[in-house]
Amino acid sequence: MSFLAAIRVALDALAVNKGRSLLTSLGIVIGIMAVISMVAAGSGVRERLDERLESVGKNLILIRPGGGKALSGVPTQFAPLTSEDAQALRDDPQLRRWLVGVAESQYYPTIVSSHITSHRVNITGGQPIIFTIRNWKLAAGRFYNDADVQRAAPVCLIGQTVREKLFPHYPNPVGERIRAGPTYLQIIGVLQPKGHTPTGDDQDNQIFVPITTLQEKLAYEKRIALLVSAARDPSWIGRATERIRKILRERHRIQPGTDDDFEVTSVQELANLGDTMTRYLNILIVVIASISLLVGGIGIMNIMLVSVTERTREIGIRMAVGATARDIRNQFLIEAVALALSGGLVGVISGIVAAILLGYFLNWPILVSLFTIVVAFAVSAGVGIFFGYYPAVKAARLDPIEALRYE
Amino acid sequence: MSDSSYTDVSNAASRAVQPQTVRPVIQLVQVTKIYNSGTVQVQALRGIDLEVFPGEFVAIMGASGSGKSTLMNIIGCLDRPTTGQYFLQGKEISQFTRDELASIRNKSIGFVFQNFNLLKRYTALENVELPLLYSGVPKRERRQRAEEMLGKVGLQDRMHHLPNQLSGGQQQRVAIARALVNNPKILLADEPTGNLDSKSSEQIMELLEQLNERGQTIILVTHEASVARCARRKVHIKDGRIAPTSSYLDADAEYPHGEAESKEDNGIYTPLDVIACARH
Repeated sequence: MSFLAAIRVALDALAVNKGRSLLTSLGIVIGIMAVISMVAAGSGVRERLDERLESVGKNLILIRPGGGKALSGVPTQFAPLTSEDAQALRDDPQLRRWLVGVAESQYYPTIVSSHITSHRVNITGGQPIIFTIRNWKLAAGRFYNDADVQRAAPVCLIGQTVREKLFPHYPNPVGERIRAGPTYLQIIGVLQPKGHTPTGDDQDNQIFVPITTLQEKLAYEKRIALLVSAARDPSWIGRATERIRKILRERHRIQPGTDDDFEVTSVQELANLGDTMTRYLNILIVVIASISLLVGGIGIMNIMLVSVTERTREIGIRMAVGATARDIRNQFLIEAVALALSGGLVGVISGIVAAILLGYFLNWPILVSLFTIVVAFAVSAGVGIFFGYYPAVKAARLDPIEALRYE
Repeated sequence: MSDSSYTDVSNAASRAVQPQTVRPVIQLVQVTKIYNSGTVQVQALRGIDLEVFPGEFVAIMGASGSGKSTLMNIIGCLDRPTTGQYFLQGKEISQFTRDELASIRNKSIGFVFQNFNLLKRYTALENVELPLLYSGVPKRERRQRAEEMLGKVGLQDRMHHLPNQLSGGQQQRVAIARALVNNPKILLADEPTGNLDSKSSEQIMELLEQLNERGQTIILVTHEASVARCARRKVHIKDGRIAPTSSYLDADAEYPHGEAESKEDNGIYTPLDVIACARH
């Protein structure tokens, strides 16, 4: 019998028991649905995390004062970071090779006004190199330079969010002035948008000024909040981090066995955490899928065994008119695979719907990959073949005489 | 009786010795069948020698338990003999594999059963197509041949009916059409009228006789003398052997179809005895 004819015979048989066929494949439906929706939600979240890590800068290394965190999260050791610390890192020949640069940076949250309106914003003071380190791009104007830092020039660059708030109908406010407290700052540049950080902060809601300007004209405060750096290559992050710790421990005269009084973290660590979580999520998905596919497969085997018994007479008739054992085996195998595949199809569709609903209500991004769908169908077919084989062989081994006599 | 349909040439040597002899389409040589049911051995057939020639209409008769069903299963290639040889068209097939037997059932033997054995979900046409499906005949030709065959049994206007929409006699005609659609050498009918009323029985027997007159070899298994009367030769099975009361040759010329013989053989009279064979 030709393969196409065999498929038709099998589908005819399934169509007779539509309700039963549907219930039988429910296990497969649920298994595939769980996999499709969870993978879609998981990879959507992963994609967004990656996007945000990318926008922050994957090679970023942050050095904060305070270290040796106790369980409460309060630092047990604390020493301020200074410009001299930053200079020491800049001067180290090895770090110079591994790092793009080191920039002191300081924050000052305040309310800033344009001639139109005012807006709450974070002012970041830094060295010119910070734009290279953080990979900021200009939309208009120029970055501030060393001369601006030298003379604590009242200049600033604004992020896209700030521009939208302060100058709603003003695509290029370069040259305009804004006021922070008593101080007027002239806008010399507008930055291209970067989006949100992994923790949800809007990176574009920032104003960048020379660090000296922040210290002398805005915050009246010289304590450095953060040293920002970036590795030239991701593979150097680990070594650079170790080197930074060594230099700072020496400078701060920390005894061996005592905790650091600062903290060196890299965005890569965050990315690694994402990787680990994705891995665990995938293992979880595989476990859930395996269990439900096992249950679904057993359901298919069960209904196929029932079907073989119910149709013993039919099998006898088919054998009497010339069906070979292979014809009979294929007929039931195709039926089992068709059952599993239709379950897989319903599972894929409902999985996508579930993922979209999940994404809609939890405000998660959703990513349905073709690969997952192909794998889902392949696995369904595999389940059909694996669990349909025994009933099919049982049917094929029937003795035609007894099968014909079966009531 | 023509042997034009008889095309096997595998046994050229024996044909050279007896060039004028028509060779049997079926030849059983000392066939036995022993069933092992647990500890008990049941000897269903104890050495059957039987030849059936092309164009014959043979009735195999016997009480239940006589071994006639076993014999029919072996002739029909549903089962294999324990010992002995079975030549079908000159080919020894007693040791064929299950798949080889399936192919013979498909192409060389057509079955008609007491309870019709049609597939309930399939229309008359689809039922008749079934053997062609398993011999890989393309769909269009399948349909055409099945329609033709249903026409021959007088069901051209019932082709798309399901079995339960047909009368018993009509169902049995569908079964006969299915049995013949692949041009088998032998039509094997097992109590074909057993589930039919007398009128339908008469029609079915008429149909079988017409087919035989057109050259179809028919082996009819029955326990009813009245039905067997239509056959031109009767083979009686008793305790796994062919009883001496059997007519060993095509008895048409030598023996008139005498009622007395049948009565003696079987001791059975049924109302169906009133059925007159179409020929007489």
